[in-house]
Amino acid sequence: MDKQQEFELIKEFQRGNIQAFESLVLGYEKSVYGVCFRMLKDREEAYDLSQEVFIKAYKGLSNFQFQSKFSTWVYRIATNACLDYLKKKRVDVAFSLNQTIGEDEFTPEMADETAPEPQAELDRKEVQEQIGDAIGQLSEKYREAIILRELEGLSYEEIAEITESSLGATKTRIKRGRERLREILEEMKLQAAGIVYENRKG
Amino acid sequence: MTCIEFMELIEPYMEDKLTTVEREAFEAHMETCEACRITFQNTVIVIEELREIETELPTGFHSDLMGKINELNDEQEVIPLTTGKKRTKVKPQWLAYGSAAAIFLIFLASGGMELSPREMQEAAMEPAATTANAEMLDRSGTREFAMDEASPEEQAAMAKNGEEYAGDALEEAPSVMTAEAPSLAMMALDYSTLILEMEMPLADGRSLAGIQTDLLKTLEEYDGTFLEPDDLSIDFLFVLPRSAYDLFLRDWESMYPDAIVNEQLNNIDDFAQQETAIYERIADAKQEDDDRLVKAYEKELDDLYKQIDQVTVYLRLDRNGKE
Repeated sequence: MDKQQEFELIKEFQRGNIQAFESLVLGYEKSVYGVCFRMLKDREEAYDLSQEVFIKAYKGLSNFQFQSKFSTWVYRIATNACLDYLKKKRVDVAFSLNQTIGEDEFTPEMADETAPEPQAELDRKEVQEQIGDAIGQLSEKYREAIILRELEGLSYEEIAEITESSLGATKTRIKRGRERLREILEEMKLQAAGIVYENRKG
Repeated sequence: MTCIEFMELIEPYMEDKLTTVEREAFEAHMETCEACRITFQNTVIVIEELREIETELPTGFHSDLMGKINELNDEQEVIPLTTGKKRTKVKPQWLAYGSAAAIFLIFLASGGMELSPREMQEAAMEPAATTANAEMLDRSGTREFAMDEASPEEQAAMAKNGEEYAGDALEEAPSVMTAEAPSLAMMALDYSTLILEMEMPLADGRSLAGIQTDLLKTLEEYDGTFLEPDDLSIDFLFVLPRSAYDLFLRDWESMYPDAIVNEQLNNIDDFAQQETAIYERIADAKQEDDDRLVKAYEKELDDLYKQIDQVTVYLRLDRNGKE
């Protein structure tokens, strides 16, 4: 669906044609669910929350002012909903994680653990699962940035707009998010995908 | 090139943003430094794997969603205060006491946290919220206006128009309600975002933004971490170096009473959800003509608002209720 079609549909909806909503959201359901799942790490919670996201969109669409892209608007509702939800749940995995693998606590002693055993090749699914786990271990703002950039393929500018942050902060978060992910995966000794356990002190 | 410099250049290298000179230095370093080469390779792999991730949409998602939306259209909508739009027949007592903005102004005018929540409610029970606002602005700094009653002429005029004078009766809500009045629960929902955007004046002339600035400086000095203000969400506190975190927490806690720092703040958006739920139950009970149940739920609502009182007294919110 191109921007023109979206524009028409939104106008239709605002004129009272409720059916227009369905066509609009069909294109975003997978993305919104994906974002929610990756942020919340739980399929059921993600299901419920992403449904809520669309209902919020439904209720708010009559006031949509076209000041941003429709997609930006939808993504923003989704990310805000996720962050609010997580805040409520107070899932601060980052805190507990940093106590063990904090950037400033990565010591040579830890690196001297027994060398990783050669593993049989993990298949694709397991690799993805581990990467999914790793994403879930990022702190929330990093997780959000990585999801929008690498999973949703959005540009830096779009992500900055969605998260209502500066371009600089966005780029920093993506960069740091990638670094943390790499560290987490190295720590998880994900050899099969080619990632080598590396005792680097940087 | 040092390894640290190399690490910083990984991102721009992958995005092809290095100058020729930088790129050559980068690649040369990679050739001689195995650790960095592995780091680089691992980064590339991680990103490639990330981009391969596919999330399946659960079956039935779309039809489930459309079902809910159609329901929304069909049933008589009980749109709760959280959207600040329509109203049902149940009158929220809180709103009846005047717009939330009025309450905020009283709060400011009282010079801080001197009025108890109950006094603030009484003060806000002016028949005409808008004129009350104007008066409050003029008489800031005094507490007397808060206890004003409508003059006898005004009372008579109101009686003629069939309006109730609500000065004494806290139970009877005035029949005129500002449909656009933002609910405090709704405003409180956005508190955590707001607090970072507004320069809220705290005790001793310090502002929260001021504390943030100090914190950012401390981080820079302490371990060379450069952060944007955006990064300072509550969650981010948990990845700060310990001493900076302690510094921030000490400042934060000294500025706010316990009610904020503990559970209550995190439950604010629970309040909005509870409010919604109770409204729906009241509507259902009314449909079934169950007066006893209606009264029970209205009492629940009242208790909920008292709870909200406690928290919002300290929040000093000023919003026009827009999402």
